[in-house]
Amino acid sequence: MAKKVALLQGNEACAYGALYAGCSFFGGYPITPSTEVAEVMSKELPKTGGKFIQMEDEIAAMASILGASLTGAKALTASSGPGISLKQELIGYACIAEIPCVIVNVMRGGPSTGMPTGPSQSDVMQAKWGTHGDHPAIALAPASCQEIFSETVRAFNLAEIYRMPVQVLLDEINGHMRERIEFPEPGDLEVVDRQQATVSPADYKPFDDSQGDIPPLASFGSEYRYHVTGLNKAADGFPTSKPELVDAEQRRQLRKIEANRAAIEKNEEYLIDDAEVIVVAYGTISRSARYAVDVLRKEGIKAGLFRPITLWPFPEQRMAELAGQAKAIVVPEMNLGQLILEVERVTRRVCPIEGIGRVDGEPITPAQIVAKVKEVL
Amino acid sequence: MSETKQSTQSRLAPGTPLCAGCGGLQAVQQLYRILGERTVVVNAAGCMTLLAIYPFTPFAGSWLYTAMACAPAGAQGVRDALDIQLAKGRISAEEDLSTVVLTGDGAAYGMGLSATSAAIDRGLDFLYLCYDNEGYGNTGHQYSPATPRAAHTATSRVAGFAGTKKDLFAIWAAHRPAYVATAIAAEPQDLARKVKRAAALRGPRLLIVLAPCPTGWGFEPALTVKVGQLAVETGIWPLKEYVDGRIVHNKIPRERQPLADYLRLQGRFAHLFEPQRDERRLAELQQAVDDYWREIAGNTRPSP
Repeated sequence: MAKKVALLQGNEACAYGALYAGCSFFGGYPITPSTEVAEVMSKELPKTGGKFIQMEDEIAAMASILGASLTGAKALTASSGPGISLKQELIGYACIAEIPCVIVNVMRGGPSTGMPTGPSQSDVMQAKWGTHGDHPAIALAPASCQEIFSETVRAFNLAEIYRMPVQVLLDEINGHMRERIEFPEPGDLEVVDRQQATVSPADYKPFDDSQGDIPPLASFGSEYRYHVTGLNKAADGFPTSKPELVDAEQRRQLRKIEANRAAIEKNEEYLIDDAEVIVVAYGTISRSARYAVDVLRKEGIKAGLFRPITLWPFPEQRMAELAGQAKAIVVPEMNLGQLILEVERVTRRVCPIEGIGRVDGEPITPAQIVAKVKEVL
Repeated sequence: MSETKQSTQSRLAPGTPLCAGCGGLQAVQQLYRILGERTVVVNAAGCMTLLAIYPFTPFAGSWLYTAMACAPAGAQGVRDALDIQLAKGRISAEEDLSTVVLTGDGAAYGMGLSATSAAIDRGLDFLYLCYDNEGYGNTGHQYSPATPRAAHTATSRVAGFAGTKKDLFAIWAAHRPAYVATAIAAEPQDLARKVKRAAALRGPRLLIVLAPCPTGWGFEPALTVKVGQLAVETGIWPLKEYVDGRIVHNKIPRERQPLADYLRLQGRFAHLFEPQRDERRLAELQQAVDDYWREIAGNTRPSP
């Protein structure tokens, strides 16, 4: 049977991906360039018995998805720029209280109001370090509308599996760009639900790690009752300042990601096997990079593309391996040098690494990348 | 005579990029005409943040953006720093600036309400103008806490807005500030009188100006004044003020026009008329207006 196809904006594809994943709650606030995610959810969620709600501000939108998630719903919010900055306290709360949720950040120029209708990739470090304290981070950066759909589904899966907030990083270009997408049929993409509690309600501890680093999560409204706080807490959820308990909890939360890197990390490699120059690019700019690689190959220059789809955790082992074979690495990104810091760190600069930064509201062009590659060779 | 002449001259330069027929801009022009350039306008994110086009601004005075949630807090810093300069003799009383907060309804009714409450609580000497276009106009007209019941917006497209418009006038008045008023640019004399009255007082002074929005409400820009007049004549937008602890209605329509006359001019209410008249919902909306006027009938008096 022919697949259902449509011409969709990235933001719309994101909303439909969330619905495919089983999202039943959206709490949001209008902000350019992310608002279309909310607009689609406002139209579609009521049809499926879900709930769309436009909250009074960004902080409230974030709080609402945490409440919904703890009560058993797969929950989504979408925002941009200043809105994401406002959500940071509660993103940290979602980390420490281990509440699954998905936050879509359609990146725009910044800081502050910046360029609401201009693209940017300048929230890469914010996605990892935006909230205070040590905490795990997962952030995905899809490039095409089809991939925005599928990575939004994966974002929900990762949130549910690892009991934590997951960020999907789009930008003003791929959020607003329209492309043909094929809607997957139910079952085509994996959809994962959180692990439910099986112990008796009397024995349930919301942060009990005796069976593994990811404790099962019961829903409010089920027969389980428990206490959730933003304070450092013990397995039963109650606050503690006992050093050994605090230390164990903090380390466990980071270990959830570190021990499962292979399952979380995802990247694409293009013409990489014999590549002497590796272009590391993500999101929208990876499309310019792929075109540039083709141009360079036609000119006899052995260029290849390494495209991290999971930005956090960064696919550091593979990046380090590839750096060993390369004469140079070029990192184009719509910021003044963010992911390049991670590339430099994990490769220990075994070869020259050059960035191309652009923050003028225009995308990095293939010609810019071609020129930089020729310069570094 | 000179005062009349002055009051008809716009001090806000033409050529802004706002939509044709913007009811909010009409109110801002009126405000600026009276207050003039000896002001610092503190703005929160919204349509009016678009007034300047590089390298020009229509304002002859200064203008400051703060975050969406906290324009009155930004105004606090400006006012206090001006007071420091006055106290130290660095500026004279004639050189002092008045502090004006300018936001849309998204900030005023929702995200910025806490900051406004706190500014009133502190007795901040400022004038707040909320241009209320009943939605988040700058992002494509999603619903806000100021959206009227049943209106279609970008996030209430299925059956229209299910909530009711928040009574910001009552919330602000409950703080007992120096002055609160509702107004509309389609009643320019009433608006001018209120701006002048507010300008002559000290302390927190707040104006909510209904801003008919051709783009978000779905009507021809030429109809802005007509829609605004009907908002008053149907009684859905009561013109009133709170001063010295009393609420006074300034214009009580003797014979209120049917609310449907106001609604049917606007695309956002088209679903109440097409494909057939939704008599039940229209009656419900009319009833809410009737109830309002019945409720205040006992304790209102028209202004002289």
